[in-house]
Amino acid sequence: MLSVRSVRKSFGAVVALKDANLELMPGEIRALLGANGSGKSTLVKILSGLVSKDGGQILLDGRPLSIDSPLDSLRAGFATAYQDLSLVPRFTVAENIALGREPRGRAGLIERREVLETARGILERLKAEFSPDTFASVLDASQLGQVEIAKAFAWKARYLLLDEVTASLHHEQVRVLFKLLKEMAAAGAAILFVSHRLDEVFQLCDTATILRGGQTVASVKVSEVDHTDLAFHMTGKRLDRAQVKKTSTLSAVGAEAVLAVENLTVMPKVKGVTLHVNAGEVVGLGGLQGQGQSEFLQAVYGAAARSGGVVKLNGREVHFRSPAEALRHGLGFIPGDRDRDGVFPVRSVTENLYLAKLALRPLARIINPQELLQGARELIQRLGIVAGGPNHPARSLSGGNQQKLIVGRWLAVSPKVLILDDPTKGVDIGARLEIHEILRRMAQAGTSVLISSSEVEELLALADRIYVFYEGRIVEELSGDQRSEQNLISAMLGVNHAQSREG
Amino acid sequence: MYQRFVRTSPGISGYFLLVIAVVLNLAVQGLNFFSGWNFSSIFSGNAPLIIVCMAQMIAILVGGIDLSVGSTMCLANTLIVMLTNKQRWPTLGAWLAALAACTLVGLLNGAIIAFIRIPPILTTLSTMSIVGGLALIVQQRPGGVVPREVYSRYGGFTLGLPTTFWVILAMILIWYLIGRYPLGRHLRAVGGNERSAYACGIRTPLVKLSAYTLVGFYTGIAGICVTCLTATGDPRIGIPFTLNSVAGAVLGGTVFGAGWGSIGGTVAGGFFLALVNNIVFFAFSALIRLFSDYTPSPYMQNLLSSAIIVFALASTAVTYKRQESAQKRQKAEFQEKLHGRQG
Repeated sequence: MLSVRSVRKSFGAVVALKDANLELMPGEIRALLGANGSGKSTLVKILSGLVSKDGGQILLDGRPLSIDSPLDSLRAGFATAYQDLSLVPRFTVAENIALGREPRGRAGLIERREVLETARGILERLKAEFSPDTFASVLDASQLGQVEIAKAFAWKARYLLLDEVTASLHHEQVRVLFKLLKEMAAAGAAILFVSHRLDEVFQLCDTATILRGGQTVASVKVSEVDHTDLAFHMTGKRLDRAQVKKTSTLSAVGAEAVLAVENLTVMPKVKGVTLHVNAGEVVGLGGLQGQGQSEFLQAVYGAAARSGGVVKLNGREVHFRSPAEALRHGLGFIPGDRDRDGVFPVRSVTENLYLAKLALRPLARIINPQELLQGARELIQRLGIVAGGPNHPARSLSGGNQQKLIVGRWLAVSPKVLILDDPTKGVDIGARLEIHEILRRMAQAGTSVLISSSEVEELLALADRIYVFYEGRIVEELSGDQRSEQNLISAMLGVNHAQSREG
Repeated sequence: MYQRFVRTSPGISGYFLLVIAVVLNLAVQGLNFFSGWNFSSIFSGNAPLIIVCMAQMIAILVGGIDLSVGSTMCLANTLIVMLTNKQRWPTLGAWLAALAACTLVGLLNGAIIAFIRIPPILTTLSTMSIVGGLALIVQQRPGGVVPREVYSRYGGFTLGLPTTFWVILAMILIWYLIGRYPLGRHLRAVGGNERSAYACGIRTPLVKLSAYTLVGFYTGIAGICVTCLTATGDPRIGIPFTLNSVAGAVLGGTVFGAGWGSIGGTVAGGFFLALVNNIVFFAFSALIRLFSDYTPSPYMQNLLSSAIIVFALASTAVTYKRQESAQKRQKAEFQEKLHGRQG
């Protein structure tokens, strides 16, 4: 039996887990549930050895277990199938499945035949439609998912940790997988199934542990609860089914639509998204993390390629091949990962503020430093940025102020459409409210704002209309009175959405 | 079956380039190319290059690079000459000492890269200077001798084939053997996707350490060969080998950051490099014969060789892209089959 007791983990100032508890018995299939920021991925990484815990205990059959690396985890009897895969693209499927547990024969040489046979056996049970000597680089997302699962199966471990493995699988592949998992549980394996698809949880799992805010808030028998109970545990808000109003159609694109997107597809994450933003409107994109919002926004802005669909700016079709092109057409983009994609830490506040505006000028034109400095000072004041001075390096600012820098950068350019990808993630409440205010003022001045966020409160406070993403599609559009916590949360969790995956 | 080989063999660009080089060589040199004497000199003259290309391939496969191989060859060369000439060691003893020294250099590189985690390019750039300095300490000026029995054996024949042919074959077989052990797989896994390798329970620091130690070993063998070839000691002998080893490995189809590459391809890539110089030499000789008042400068030859090499390097990118699109087409065929069956 596996026992996780009061496990804690922080990454710097961010507390990922404060009190995680879990029990898993042989023969049990337990779901691990939690919304964004609940700590469930951190907990899985601690059990699989990729991350080390700060405190708490992990007990295996009553004895304390210390897991400092994936090797420790594997030796202890855990096998993990990772959401972001642990495969080597240039290896064949069989080589990937055998990686780390190569069967040795005479003189310690690898038994190549056994590698192939083992792989073939598991792939057959999974009803996979490719052969073991196929290179991983030619497989698509669902097939790669199957290889990852096959790899975990090959360890024949007592404890199987499956982290969002069904995310890219087709309906039929999921059915076969669940049948196998139930057989394995009946034979004594213990399975931890991490997923956000509540329907699957009800199909497969015996029990569920729900994390919220880094703590275990509930451990239930799946047969004794329903969707609303689970949603309540995951979000802390009681969902009253009677209050959930569903819209059947999305609002039509009108003449005032500044940005109109039709059937945008970015394989495999975005599966045909249609939406529009009117002038001076703030449109929110809601949903759990990783449902395709980032990929969608990047495709609109030209930072990523799209597989299909049409984007129209003020009625004219556009296809940006680079963010620079989008910028010239009046778009602005504030990325999700601020540290990686936004701020230039060593460059000064002034340079960071004026980056976009300068990008619009011809390269050979001379810049007047006084003009820049004066403008920077004005912006700093207008935005309430707390900085030592306009020439200080951007990294000397706090996270929230750095994010204000980026907003300020775009304010300086007055774009027609400003796109933001979860801009206030990890930003303190004070800075967050100020950024909201800035965005509202920009919208009033005529900028159309398209903002994606995983925070319910933020969307409700800011957005005129909210589109909810679930598994790469829009499942709900909320406007006017429909913008309630109930509706938003139920849409985010896919509660009202009948799942029809491609099959 | 042939199609599958073309699509999936890492060495394909190397083999392809080698065929072209042989054809061109035949064109400029004529059938003399196939004479025993010519073959033997191609092997013995270029064995050091071929073997150091293999060493570099190992470093690239594990996700890094080793810029210190040239200097390490200098160290081997000066150590052998110094030990045999000044300390009167027997040849075999000197060879073993040099091999041990080179392997230790590799171990040092591996330890710094794996445990202190300094990027390979920086680490090996530093050891390049350090080891080069050590070589100079051992022997400041070119000089010294290698016994006649040694260098004529090296340049001659054993069992009907050039001696160096067997040496190269042995080095290929050693690598082949390693490939049949988990270390061989793990090495490529770490180079292909280190995080995945780590998540599978592979001890990535140990794998890197082993890899760079192997690089040192192979470089040591190359150093012994260059000593037998030049039959003297020179603390700067190895310097041109560093970049050439990277060129040879890349021409042979070894890809940075993918764990993709083959020893056969690398050997072919190395031979391609070797033959380019041969081709250029004979081409210019032919030009001199045709236009009797034409006196080319050695710089022209150099320019032409380098141009051919750049062209060849560019062609590996084309081969790589071709392999990728062939694999993508295979992917599309999969999808058709999948949807066809369900449709």
